[in-house]
Amino acid sequence: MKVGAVIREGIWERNPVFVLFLGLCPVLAVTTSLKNGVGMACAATAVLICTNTIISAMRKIIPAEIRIPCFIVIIATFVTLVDLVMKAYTPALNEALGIFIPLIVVNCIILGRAEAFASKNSPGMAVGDAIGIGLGFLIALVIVSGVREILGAGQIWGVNIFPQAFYDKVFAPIGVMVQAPGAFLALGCLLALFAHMDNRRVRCEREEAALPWVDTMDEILRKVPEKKKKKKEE
Amino acid sequence: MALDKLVVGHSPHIKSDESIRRIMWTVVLALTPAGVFGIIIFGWYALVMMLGSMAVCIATEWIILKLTGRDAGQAFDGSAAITGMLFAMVCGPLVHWYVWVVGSIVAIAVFKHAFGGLGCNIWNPALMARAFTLAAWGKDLTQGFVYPDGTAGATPLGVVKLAKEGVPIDTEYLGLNELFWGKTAGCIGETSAALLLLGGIFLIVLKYVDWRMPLSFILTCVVLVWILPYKNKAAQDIASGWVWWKEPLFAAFSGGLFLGAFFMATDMVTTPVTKTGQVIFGVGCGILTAIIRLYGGYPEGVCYSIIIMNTATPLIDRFTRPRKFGAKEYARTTS
Repeated sequence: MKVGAVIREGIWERNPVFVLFLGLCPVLAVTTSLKNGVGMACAATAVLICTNTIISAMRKIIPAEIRIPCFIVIIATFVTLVDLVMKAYTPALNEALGIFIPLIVVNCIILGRAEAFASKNSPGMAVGDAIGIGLGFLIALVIVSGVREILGAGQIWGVNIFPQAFYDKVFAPIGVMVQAPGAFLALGCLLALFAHMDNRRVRCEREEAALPWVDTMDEILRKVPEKKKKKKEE
Repeated sequence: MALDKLVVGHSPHIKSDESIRRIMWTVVLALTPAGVFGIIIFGWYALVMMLGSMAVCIATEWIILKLTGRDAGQAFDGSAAITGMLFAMVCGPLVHWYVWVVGSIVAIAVFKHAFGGLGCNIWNPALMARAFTLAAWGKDLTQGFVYPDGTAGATPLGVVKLAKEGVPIDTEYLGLNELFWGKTAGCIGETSAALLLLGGIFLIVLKYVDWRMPLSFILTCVVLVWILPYKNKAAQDIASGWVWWKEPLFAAFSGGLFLGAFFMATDMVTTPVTKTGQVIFGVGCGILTAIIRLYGGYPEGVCYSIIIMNTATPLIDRFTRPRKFGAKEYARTTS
């Protein structure tokens, strides 16, 4: 396997949010605006790249029995680093993300990649995996937080899309989308959309490969009335 | 030829003329008096809202049925129309146009069809749309009520809420007479207890609604509001200790209790099937409504109480499953 393939897989086929359903807590909680989403993704990616590298390099000396505590210590170290750096250079963002920066320690993407990938592969591959998964996480957070910010606040990156008078007089932004229920609604709708796209892609691939297409239950149900009609006509 | 007419199949074998279309449009008919009254006291915008919401709901349903390759004619079976009408009736008379347009779309697209469409939705779509719009545009739904004479005012329960906070009250539109006939402030469809009662009795006579459900709901709520202690002295007449808003009839006629009890807690899809289950559902709604009214942050709790009990409906159905004919003991745990 090549590093390029690992990166590509992390972005799409193994997208941590839309495919693996990992790290949903920050996805739901901090995606109230694009800025927060990107900040969160960058912090998590920085931690992921560092931990993947270190854990991969140390994979032969970490005893299998206590690997999880070892991983957690390494992860916690880097999270503390990132937390302090953010406090120093981006205090506003740190304030907005709040508890979710320290909580990267228990983010299942980080520990999941450490356990599933970094502890079994060379450091080079592990960095590739971290970059791919990190980009996938970034893309997911940008999509979710973008949708929520546009619908819920009528803004992109904190800038109004329409003049304020439009929001006052014609259409006020759907405030609920930047609150907690909006996170679930937005994520649910996006997951449905991606599942739909994926189904379509699989179907196209099968048709290209001329494989027999197995009807889904929906299609069978749809065909029954058609067959009945044909019988009646006969 | 004769053999073609013999149908072999599962029960039920007794068939009647009742259809979804007929039941649903009858419910719309039963709602009409209260809706017309809403137009009379709140003006033509109420009519625009009700017809508009119905149209948006039906159009949304039609588009979704078309996109998913089902029979788009189902959009006209009346269930979407009821959702639209009920949603408009639980909105204040002054809400912006986008509140009812987006609310109607969300009711059908998210809270009905995301779960599989008619018969599969967990919550009452109209109430979920109200909860959604309340969270989205809170000011639109919690303020902007008017009295029939056109002056701005609060709903009866809103006045109670203000009274609890120590705001002096104006009882001109709070008499039992005004509340019963509907000459007070409130959502478009909730003001007239009399006309809602009329529609409700019409449905009960036609047996589309079982009387146990609304009765248990209203009784529980009224009794609990009456007997539960409330310590805030600001909202009561200090001289006599009489708490005017805890009067049973005031509790019954104010807010959306009749609308909720007759038309929303009786929705066939989202409420229990058996009679016992319906009583449990009604009592649960009553308890929650009373608790929210007395101690909650919102003045009215009918909407949330029904939504919460809708969530519990599968559980209630499971524990009130009727005994099979001939069976002595049935397993409650098998799914």
